[in-house]
Amino acid sequence: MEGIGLLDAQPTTRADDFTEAVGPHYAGLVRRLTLVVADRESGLDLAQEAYLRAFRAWDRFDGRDVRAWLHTIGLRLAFNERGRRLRFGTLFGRRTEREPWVDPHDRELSEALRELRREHRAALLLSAVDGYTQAEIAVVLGVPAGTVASWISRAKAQLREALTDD
Amino acid sequence: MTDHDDEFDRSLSERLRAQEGRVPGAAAPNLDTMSPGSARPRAASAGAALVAAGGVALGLVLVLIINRLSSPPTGHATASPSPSARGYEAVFLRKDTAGSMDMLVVGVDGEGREREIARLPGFGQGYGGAAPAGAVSLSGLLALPKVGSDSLFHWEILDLHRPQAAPIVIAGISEDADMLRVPPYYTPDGRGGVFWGPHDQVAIGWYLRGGDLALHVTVVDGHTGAASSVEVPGGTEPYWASDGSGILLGKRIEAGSYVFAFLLPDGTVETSETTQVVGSGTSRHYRSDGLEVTASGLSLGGLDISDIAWTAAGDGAWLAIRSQDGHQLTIERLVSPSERRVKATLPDAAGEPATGRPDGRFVGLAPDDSLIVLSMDRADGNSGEPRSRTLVNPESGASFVIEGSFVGWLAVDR
Repeated sequence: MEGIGLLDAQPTTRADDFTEAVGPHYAGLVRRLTLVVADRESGLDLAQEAYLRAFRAWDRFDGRDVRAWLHTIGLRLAFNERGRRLRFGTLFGRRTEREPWVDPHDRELSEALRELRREHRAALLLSAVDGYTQAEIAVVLGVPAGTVASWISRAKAQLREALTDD
Repeated sequence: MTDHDDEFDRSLSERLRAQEGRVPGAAAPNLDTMSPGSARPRAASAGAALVAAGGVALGLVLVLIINRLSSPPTGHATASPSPSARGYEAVFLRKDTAGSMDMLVVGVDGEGREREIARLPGFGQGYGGAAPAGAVSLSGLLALPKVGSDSLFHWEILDLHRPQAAPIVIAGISEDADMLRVPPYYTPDGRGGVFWGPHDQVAIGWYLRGGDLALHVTVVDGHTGAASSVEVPGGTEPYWASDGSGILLGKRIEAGSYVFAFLLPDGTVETSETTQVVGSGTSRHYRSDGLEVTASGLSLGGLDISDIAWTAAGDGAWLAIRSQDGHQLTIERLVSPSERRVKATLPDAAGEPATGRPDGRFVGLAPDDSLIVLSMDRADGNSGEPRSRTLVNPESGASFVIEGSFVGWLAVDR
């Protein structure tokens, strides 16, 4: 039983450190990704993948804003990985649509959000919910600040049109 | 901005916050049981096989560690390797040592024999990158990213079975064209691949049909999912539009100037005036072998394990184990929890006293386990670039140090 004893006696402090620092932000990541991809199951999948990738890269994390770092990984995955699955389905004739997540308390907003491009949703949420500046969002999403400004502007304009009566 | 706009923005922020708060959260997953993607069933079955074979504590610990740190090679779950008479060769890219800046594509077999497969003139500014790796892409297609003289981000797609044929070129002019900064997704038979646009609407793909390397632009309707394919006429090169919403079919008419046709997502085409092209040439490096594990500093039952990888069949594991003095690396096959078989013993990569330990990592495993490609980075290295790649033949135990970048596998016949 030497091996088990070894593992018990020397817990993987790297994993413990990671879990302690990143774990509290996981639920928020799931919520954010669910809104960005408008799909609960994909949000969960992406969050798990982001969590694993973050763990692998934990040694390289600069130690500053762990939430922003985790969201950066998750959102970039959302732009690429989920789309890849859908697109593969499209390419090979197997388009697998999942039931979108809809907020029963504000169905109108859910549906209007779903009409936005994923990138626009992400930029808008980072701005309107988190209060990040355009420059900060540019870093998170890996695009120029001008692109962020354009995305947010377009997202607001589209939502204004969808959510206002006049 | 008007007061009305301010009020709308405030109201929108409140509604978004409230809505996000109503999305069900989830507890962080247990790292001990996680594996990437949908790999859980494979990881579990391999772990179960190991446990059933012996049930010794060391095996249990290894299963835990493997479950945490490793993953089955991408694509191996569905691949059915059928080795040709000669088997698989590892394919490397390297610069010509004679001073020329040509890029050589070299195949190396399990006995260390090299053969030049292709010579790519004018790749002085380029570098080798991702290619079909592992089990699924065996037809010999090779994708080479490079930064051209006009700072466009290129991929050149070569048919290694017909290396004299002109490659097709796919390039991006925009920093938004992120799809070109990651490897394409290859078809399961390895004869084609596709780059996807960022908005689910457009894609560039290619496929070998009847021995010809044809370039197709696939347009995907983001709403209906309907896809149509257009074969690109010769002499044109596709470029992503700056916002990713379409594809420019460009034809170079003089240095730096192109004439374009703009392929819209609905499949229609608009022509444009001559355009001066200026783009950035940033690039990123990605590993494509699907075998990457994070095992630095891992110490287990007295074993100093440098890396772990699943066998091609997923029925066991390969271990890279450092010697106590750190100067040697052994490659062992984990057969059962209580049995490991030494397959090869490798000296320090350069045969010199180690200032750090050889950080042997598995970067490629042939689809039939006939060859292993190891990266022999040093643990204290700071460049991130491998000093060498080492080929190991598990059957004979022979190893060969190879210069160049490992890019994938090529099925060849005698």
